[in-house]
Amino acid sequence: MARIVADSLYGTLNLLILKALDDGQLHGLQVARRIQGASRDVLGVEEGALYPALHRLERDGLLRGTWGVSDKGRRAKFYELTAAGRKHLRREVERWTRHTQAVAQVLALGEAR
Amino acid sequence: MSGAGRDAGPGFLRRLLHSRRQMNADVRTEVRFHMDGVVEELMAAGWSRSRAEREAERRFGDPDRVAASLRAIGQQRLSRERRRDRLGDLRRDVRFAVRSLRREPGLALVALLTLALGVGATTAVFAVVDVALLRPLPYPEGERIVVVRNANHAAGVADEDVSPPDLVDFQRVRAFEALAGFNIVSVMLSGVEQPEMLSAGAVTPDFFRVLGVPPARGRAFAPGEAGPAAPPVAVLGWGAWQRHFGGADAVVGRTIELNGVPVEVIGVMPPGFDVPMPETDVWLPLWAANPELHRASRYLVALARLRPDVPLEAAEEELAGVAAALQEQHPETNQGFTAWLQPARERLVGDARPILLTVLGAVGLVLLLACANVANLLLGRATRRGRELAVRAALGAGLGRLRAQLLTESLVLGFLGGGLGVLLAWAGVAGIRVLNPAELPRAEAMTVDGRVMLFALGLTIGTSLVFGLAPVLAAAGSRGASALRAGTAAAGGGRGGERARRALVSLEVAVSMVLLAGALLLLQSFTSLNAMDPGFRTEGILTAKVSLDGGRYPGNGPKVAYFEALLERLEADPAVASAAVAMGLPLDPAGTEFELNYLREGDPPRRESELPEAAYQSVSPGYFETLGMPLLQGRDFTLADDWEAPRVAVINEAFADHLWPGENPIGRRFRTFYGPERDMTVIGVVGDTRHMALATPPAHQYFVPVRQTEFMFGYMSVAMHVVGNAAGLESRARAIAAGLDPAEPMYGFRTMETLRADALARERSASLVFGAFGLLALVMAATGLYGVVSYQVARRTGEIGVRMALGADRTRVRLQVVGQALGVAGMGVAVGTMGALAATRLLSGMLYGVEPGDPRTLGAGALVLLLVAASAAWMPARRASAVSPVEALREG
Repeated sequence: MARIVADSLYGTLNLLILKALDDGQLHGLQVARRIQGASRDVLGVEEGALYPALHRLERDGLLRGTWGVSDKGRRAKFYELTAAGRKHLRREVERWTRHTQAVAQVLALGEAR
Repeated sequence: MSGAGRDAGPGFLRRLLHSRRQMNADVRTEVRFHMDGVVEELMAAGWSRSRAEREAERRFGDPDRVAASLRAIGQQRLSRERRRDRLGDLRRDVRFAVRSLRREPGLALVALLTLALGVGATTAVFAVVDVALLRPLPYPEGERIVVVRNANHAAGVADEDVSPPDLVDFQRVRAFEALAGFNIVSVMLSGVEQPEMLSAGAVTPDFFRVLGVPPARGRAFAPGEAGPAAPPVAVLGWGAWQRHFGGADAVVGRTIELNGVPVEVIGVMPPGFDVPMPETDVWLPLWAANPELHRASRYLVALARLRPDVPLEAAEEELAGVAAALQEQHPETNQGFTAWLQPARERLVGDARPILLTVLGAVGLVLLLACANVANLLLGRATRRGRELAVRAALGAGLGRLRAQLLTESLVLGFLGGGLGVLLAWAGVAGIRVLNPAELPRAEAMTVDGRVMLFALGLTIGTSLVFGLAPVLAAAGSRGASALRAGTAAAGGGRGGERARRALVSLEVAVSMVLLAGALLLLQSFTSLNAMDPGFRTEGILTAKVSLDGGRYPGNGPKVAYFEALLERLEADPAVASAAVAMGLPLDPAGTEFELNYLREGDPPRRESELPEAAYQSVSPGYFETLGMPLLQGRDFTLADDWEAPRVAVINEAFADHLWPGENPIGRRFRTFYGPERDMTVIGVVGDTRHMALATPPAHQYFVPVRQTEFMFGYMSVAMHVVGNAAGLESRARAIAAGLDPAEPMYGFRTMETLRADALARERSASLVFGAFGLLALVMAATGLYGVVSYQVARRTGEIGVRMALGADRTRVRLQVVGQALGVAGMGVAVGTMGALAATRLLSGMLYGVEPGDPRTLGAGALVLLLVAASAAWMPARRASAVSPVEALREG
């Protein structure tokens, strides 16, 4: 079994972005709002860090960027998961879950003592 | 590969600049879209525009910095995409190539096999040549090892071994770091249950230092560890160590018995150490300074290691000085004797060098044929695909992409063929190693290793490019509407291209002619040698060796008694009709034969150096009968022809004709000088035999009976004429010898048929190799012709249709097609005949009974080629005559 390495914040952001795009294509601002909304505003997104993250994921072939038209009729760049991105997301979700469960277990152990 | 066409030229740069500019604009648009979105959100929540804009910028951070990092990431993305594109193109090209090759499986198969044979044969020959000629000898700084030779030009001797006393004197040469002499001897491993003859190198103590190879176990001989003062020691060969002592380390220090003398084993040589021969069992120290050794007995092979940085010429000059001093010091033995040096590799390769280079040249021609052929096949194919290519060009595929694609097809074909070829080469080299022909130096070291694989890879890429270039160049002409309209015609490269293809096939025929002529000459030579009557019986003769220990059988009497007893017991076996011994049997390289001086009765006495020579053999009575040599006149020896009786000789027909032409030789005499002068009376004449080699005409030869032999040898060959069931005779003969004297085994059993076959080994392998190449060449030329003629027929379908519609008859159309093929082949045959006249001269040393430029052979080769050409053209000719005028016109 792969050893879980404690994720960086950057890695977490990637995971959140991929998850936000799981249901369909969104532009950058929508991605930010989707993450905030889903976390009931617990997780804020550093907007300056969002775009580099999106572009890196696009560079690595996990996202595909296409130019389209927004609800308000403006030219906007939309992002969607590629097949590789979808696979990556599933793997990362599983890894994250295992990681947090393990951490939670350790913390519970500390409380029991 | 495929990227080369894409990225070349200004188009690439333009596209690159364009995508970079586009990307920067995109980054700006995206950032602006985000900012505007955030501002709108805030304003909807009641913020004023100016506060909302400030807040948006606060959240986003410095937009310029973000944009810069986005541009950098975008740059990386672009270059990755380009790489992916290129890889994708290549993958697509390869997949497409495989698919389009599978569309014409026949063509692909022929091309693959052609390439596999070409690359395989060339690689196998390279593996052989590499080990024999190119790789350094497997001794440290082997290039410093030289062979020391004698010569006596006044006496017509160019290449002579060195005598032990001379060897000791040559040690004065300071250019030699070390000098050693050796010869090959046999020793008996005794004191074991089954005594066995071991092949041994008798070597002076510095031998291993000269070669620079230390023993794998124990130690080598110490300087001066030879002669009566030193205790007897021996170094074992790896094979003998494994066989007799199970590879036990404890063998070092152990005492074994050689020729009945206890000898201490001091070391074991590593496997593969092959001097003086590959399977040497044991090395024994040779005492060159032994005062009993004669300065005129030149029988040692001398090896020297030159000091570093001493050129061969300088060493040779110094050596010549020593030789000159010896001439003055010992005029009676050294008058006229000079000394010279030869690099050890050259010596080792010897006769094989020109043969190997000839074979390499021949296989190079075969590869050339393979290239030409595949090029032709692909050209024909490109023509058939002219329309496809034109359509793809019209649909926007760049010329570069089309070229890249055609080249990919060639490379795919090349690599598949090359891979098969390596497998063939591997099998071929394994076969060569198994056959281990004596004429190939170091055959045991031949493998298909990394180096050879690298050669094959280079060969594959090279050939792929050579034959792959043809369709690429042809495709250059297939651009645009003209090709679309012309359909099949234009893509072949038009008239000039067709001429080029015909020239290519003519060249193929010419090359085939050269190879075929060589093969036919060698085959003829081999068959005439094989059919040659050697003058003695080769069927039903079993031969063996006995080597009596001179210590236990001193002088003539005991040896003769032993052999006569042995023969008597052997003849008692029901399977043995008769048996005899001789110093050396015909065609047996392990036998002994001398050339001795003689003087015909009545001739004036002459100085020894001016006396004629004849071959001398010592045989037992019944020898001629056993070998089936006809007694033409007089009688055979009997036991009464003994030491006390008058000296008698049987001479062969050639000698009789030479000495007394047209006269009765019986009762005539000649004088010999071997030991005391003797007058020999001729009592019989036997038929001539080919004694030394089948290709060598019979020499003047005389035989003496063993009972009258001056210095009877302990080492004799036994011949048994076997009748009826020979099964088990070998073991019975061994038992008979063991019953006579358990310490003197009979060994080295071989049939006369084997000896004869071995005597022709070189001729056999040469004609086999060239025969295979010749056949290959023939097949390739036929395929090439077939390709060209089919192409012409396809191209001229319309024209033929018109002519047939106008009433031309089928036979005529066929004849015309065949006639054209013959024209192309005839050109090739003419050029090839001239080439063959020149090239087959290289074979002259290997030919027997046929001249290099033999007109009958060349004529036969030409005829075969023309016949093959006609039959290769026959199928397309039939196809042409089957053209339906209506269809042809519609298609055209």
